[in-house]
Amino acid sequence: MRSVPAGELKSGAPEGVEVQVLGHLIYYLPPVSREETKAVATVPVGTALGCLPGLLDIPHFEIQSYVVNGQAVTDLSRVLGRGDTVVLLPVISSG
Amino acid sequence: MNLNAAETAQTRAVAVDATTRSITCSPLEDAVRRRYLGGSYLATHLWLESSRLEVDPLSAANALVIAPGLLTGFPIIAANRTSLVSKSPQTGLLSESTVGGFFGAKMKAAGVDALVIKGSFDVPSYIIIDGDSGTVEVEDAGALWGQDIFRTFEVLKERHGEDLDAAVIGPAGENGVYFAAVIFGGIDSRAAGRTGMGAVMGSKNLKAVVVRGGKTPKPADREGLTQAMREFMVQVRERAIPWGKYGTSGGVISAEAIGDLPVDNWRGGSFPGVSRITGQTMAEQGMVIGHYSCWGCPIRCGKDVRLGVGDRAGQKSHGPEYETIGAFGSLCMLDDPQYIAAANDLCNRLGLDTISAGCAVAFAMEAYERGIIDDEMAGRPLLWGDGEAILFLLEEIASQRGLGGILGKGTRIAAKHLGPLAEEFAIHVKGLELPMHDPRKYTSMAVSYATGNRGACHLDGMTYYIETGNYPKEVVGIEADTKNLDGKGKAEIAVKMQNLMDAFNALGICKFMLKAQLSPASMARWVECCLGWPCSREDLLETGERAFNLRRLCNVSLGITRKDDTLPPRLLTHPRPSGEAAGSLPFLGEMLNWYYAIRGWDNEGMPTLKTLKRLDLEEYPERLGIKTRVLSP
Ligand code: SF4
Repeated sequence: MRSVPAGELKSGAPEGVEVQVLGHLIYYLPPVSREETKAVATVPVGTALGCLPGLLDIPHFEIQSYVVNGQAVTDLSRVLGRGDTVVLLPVISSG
Repeated sequence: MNLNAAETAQTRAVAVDATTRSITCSPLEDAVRRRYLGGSYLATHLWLESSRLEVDPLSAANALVIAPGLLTGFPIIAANRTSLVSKSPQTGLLSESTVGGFFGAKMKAAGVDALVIKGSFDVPSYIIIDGDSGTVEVEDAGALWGQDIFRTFEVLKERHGEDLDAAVIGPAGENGVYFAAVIFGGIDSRAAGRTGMGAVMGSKNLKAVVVRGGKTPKPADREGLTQAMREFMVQVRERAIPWGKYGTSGGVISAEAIGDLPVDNWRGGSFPGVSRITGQTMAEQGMVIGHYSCWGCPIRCGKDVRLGVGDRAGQKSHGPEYETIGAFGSLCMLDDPQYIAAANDLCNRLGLDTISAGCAVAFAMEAYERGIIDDEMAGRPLLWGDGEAILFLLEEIASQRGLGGILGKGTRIAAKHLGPLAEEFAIHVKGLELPMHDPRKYTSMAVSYATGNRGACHLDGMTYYIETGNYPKEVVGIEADTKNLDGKGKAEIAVKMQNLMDAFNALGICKFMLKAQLSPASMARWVECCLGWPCSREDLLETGERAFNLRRLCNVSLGITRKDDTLPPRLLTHPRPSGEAAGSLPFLGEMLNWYYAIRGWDNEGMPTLKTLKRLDLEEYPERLGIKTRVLSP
């Protein structure tokens, strides 16, 4: 699996799938990819959801849910296709 | 009074009768220790031995019990918590407030497992427990009365040495603010904030309890404990230490993202200014100048900040925690971290609970917006997001001046003063203002808040750890399918987590250890290693359940029934208008039915006789004046 540096492939890049990262998860991504309360990365088409933590360097236990095209998905073997959009929601990290 | 033999000191309670100034020290019987362990549970037991539930909370007849947890002070990661138990002026219920820091470990080192303070001093006084000399004495606090907490702490250090810790009240406690806090550690503050224990101390003319000296207790099985710590440290290193970089304040941005952070006195859904008030932003902007920990904890989640506004601008202070940022920030629509830090600093100096204080300010701002309060009554305009207005109101509350005299009684009583419309936006359960986790997001929190023994309390349940899959449900015996939760499942989560949290309270372990997935089985092993008693996971969970039910019985005795196990109307009927939790409302009635059934309580929320028998609590209804005929079989 090839990691695509966040910010290198921006939203809309045809060869990638856009992943929006919210909450404190944005601090795992390079500052260049952050916009206020979200950060955007792009991963290759064909990436499985379960590979996102490794690709983006986010500990898996910090991710509360994976939302694909507006729907929460629990099957982490789900492979991302062209045109999919993904949102990663954080766990409560206030204590 | 001489404590004697600090070496064998693991079983002592000191009783101070403030009225007569007599001090006695008595051993805690082994059976009492094994049954009530320590912390909140032991303190509840000792309070019931000392006072009657119907006492006026601010009278001399209301005892205050301070008890470190059973494991507090042992060489265990994050075993440092202390409980304060008394009847709360804010809720009218037998309540507790717990705190981390160093105080409990020092109490243990000094050889005191519990301090019971009865009566009331005729003049301002403080108690000093000295583990080196083995003495407990009462000193005059006349020169300290009226001083703020940081100054008091400094004077106490000048008098008694740098190595002390002290539980101190400020002007708010002296003036009887119903949500006055007790602050420990001076500027590196840790607060026993909730339920007004500061006011109880103030009513006793008790400015401070100081503790110093002594020897750290020795575990029965040092090798076993060292091994257990080594194993637990793996989880702490992976999951908790990285979190400590920003501490609780680092969670603000996520809470907003997922719809958990309350906004605009619980009317809003999203807070556009959130990125300006997060712990990460405070660190990036150079506000955070240091980190500190509680006793025995490598996580260092406490933050030092440099203040930028207020009368202490330029000076160091304790950084605002998540709850404080929520209470003065998004709840009051304030997006300036400097004013939030200044409000936090003021609360720590004056001795105010930041959660209740922030809620009271937000309540006042909404009342002002609606024209229920005008400029004359408020003393100035109270506009949303106005940091100066917040600082002004905090001073007014602590000194009980003007509108502050009403707000200082808590939002429940303040709303009664201001009329029925105000009652609609007074956000509390049983008189205790809600903490900063929205029960419309993780709805197991709704039933947990509604049934919390001290009122709305996130620490009573912390059920979101299970709902989010962030803590393994199996270790507490939760059977519900957490991926597909119905009312029964949410109720089960609330019951089992409340039991676990009461076990944490009895042992004195920081609840943030849930982050490191600390299990009751590990905690039981620690008890065995420290005390040499046999202890199992089941023992601990049952002790937690027993403690929770005992406190419920106290509440029942004080008239609490199903009608009180509810949420403010706004949270039951008004969904968040935007954001990740938009449209969601808790189905409380259904959850409550399941909750009572799982607990073995009747439909009115009273433990049945069968339940009391199972938990070995049968003696209590009679002791607490509950007619057993009102209890179901
Ligand atoms: S996690 Fe934070 S609050 Fe808990 S014991 Fe450690 S430093 Fe104290």
